[in-house]
Amino acid sequence: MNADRFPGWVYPVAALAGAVVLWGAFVSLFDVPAYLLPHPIEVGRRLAADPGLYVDAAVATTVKVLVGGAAGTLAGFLLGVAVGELPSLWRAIAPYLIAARVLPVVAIAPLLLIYFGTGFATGIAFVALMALFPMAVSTAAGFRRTPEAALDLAASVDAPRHRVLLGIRLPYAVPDVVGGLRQSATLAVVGSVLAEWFVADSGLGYLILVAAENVRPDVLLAALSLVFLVGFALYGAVDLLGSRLRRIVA
Amino acid sequence: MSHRGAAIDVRELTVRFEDVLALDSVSLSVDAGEFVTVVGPSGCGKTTLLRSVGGLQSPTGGEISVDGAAPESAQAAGELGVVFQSQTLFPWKTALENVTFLRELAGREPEPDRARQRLVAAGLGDAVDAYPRELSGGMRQRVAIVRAMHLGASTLLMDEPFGELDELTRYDMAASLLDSWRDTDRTVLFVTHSVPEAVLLGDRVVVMADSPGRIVDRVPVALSRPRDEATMDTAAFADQVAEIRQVLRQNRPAEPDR
Repeated sequence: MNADRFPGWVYPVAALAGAVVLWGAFVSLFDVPAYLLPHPIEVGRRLAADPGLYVDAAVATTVKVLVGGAAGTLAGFLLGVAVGELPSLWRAIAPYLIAARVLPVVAIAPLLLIYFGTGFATGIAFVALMALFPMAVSTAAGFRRTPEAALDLAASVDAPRHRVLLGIRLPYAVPDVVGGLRQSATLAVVGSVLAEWFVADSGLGYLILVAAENVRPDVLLAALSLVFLVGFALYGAVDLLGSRLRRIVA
Repeated sequence: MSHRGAAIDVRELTVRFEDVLALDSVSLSVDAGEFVTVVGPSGCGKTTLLRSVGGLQSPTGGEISVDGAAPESAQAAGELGVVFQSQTLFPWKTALENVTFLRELAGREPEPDRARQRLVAAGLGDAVDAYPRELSGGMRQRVAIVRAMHLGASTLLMDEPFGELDELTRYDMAASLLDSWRDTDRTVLFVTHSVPEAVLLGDRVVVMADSPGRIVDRVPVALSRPRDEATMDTAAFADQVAEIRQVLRQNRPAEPDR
């Protein structure tokens, strides 16, 4: 048996196709009522019947993911660099940065509603908050990974701080930054859907909410498959970017 | 041996870590252009001495001057070329880029053409554009030495640069270090725990002992230069090594080292 008989993407695609076929077979075989679990073909029909609705919702969600995710990731990166460069700042806020992972950001949502209202800005702020913490913690961890000897070498020629930061510490931090980017990207998708639940004005999350209230699992699953698609595409893009970045400093 | 005055002057240097006396009132003067090796057991403070001279370790007491000024001034002037025991090449840079990068860190022109010449002269012609992971441990340290040379510092501080290499590679490296040092007028302070290496390289061998870290002897090496690996086969060399080993033994009442 040769494990590399097919290109790498074939395996997950085959698994997905298999899962959909099993789902369809399960529904047909056991006569599962459509209000509990519709047949995959029904879900496909639902998507085809009103593509504009789903495309608009997917675009709204994707915009939140990209804008909020980029803002949060960038802010998290800068915060990570700052605490990486300033050990006393790190010591001061590290417990809270780490605790912020335990605190469900969703608990802050009502506060955001008060500050930003029930519009676009609240969704963006929420997604940004979700994406910020993993990026900040990972970046800070990366900056603590610079080998002592490398810093000694820089000190031996009295290298200016910005050169050490950009030329030495940042490259050594790249694997952690990439790891943070992956986590933040995933959370940005989660955050967008959550934001659409409590802001409830647009997007796939909103569509899921409405579908659930009206007991329309076909609409719900159609929206869900698009969430999956958006998340998968984003993760793929981040993964590609990450491995490019890693290769530069490997 | 040159007589242009002291390039490195250490007076009554004391370094204390918590309640450990790493260095107890150590005084050492190294002439400009002199190659001084420091030998002693693990934990005798020889690395601490070198780091103090390089301004990487703050003394608890005493004074250090490099070219007549504090080590920090020598750092800022780019007059200290340090080679560490551990691998300090940056994995994302080629050999050539690593060599030029130290000059950039020091705020100097990288001079890549000159760097390339130096690498070729050090027998690294095929490795110029290779990344550290593609090089053997010995080649990596060769690059690190070329990097220190390329900085253009008047003083080279070497902390067991061949400590992680096998026996054969180590003496081969030492011989080639002598080759590249011979035509320069650089001052070298070289720390090692290998007595043969200390004798092969040094104009003078400073012998240290531990608990507390201190200098117990300074032995001038009466072997003519140029020296190479064949020097190690001579009776005079064996005598020098034996003499220093005896000093080390006499100053080690505790358990033997390695």
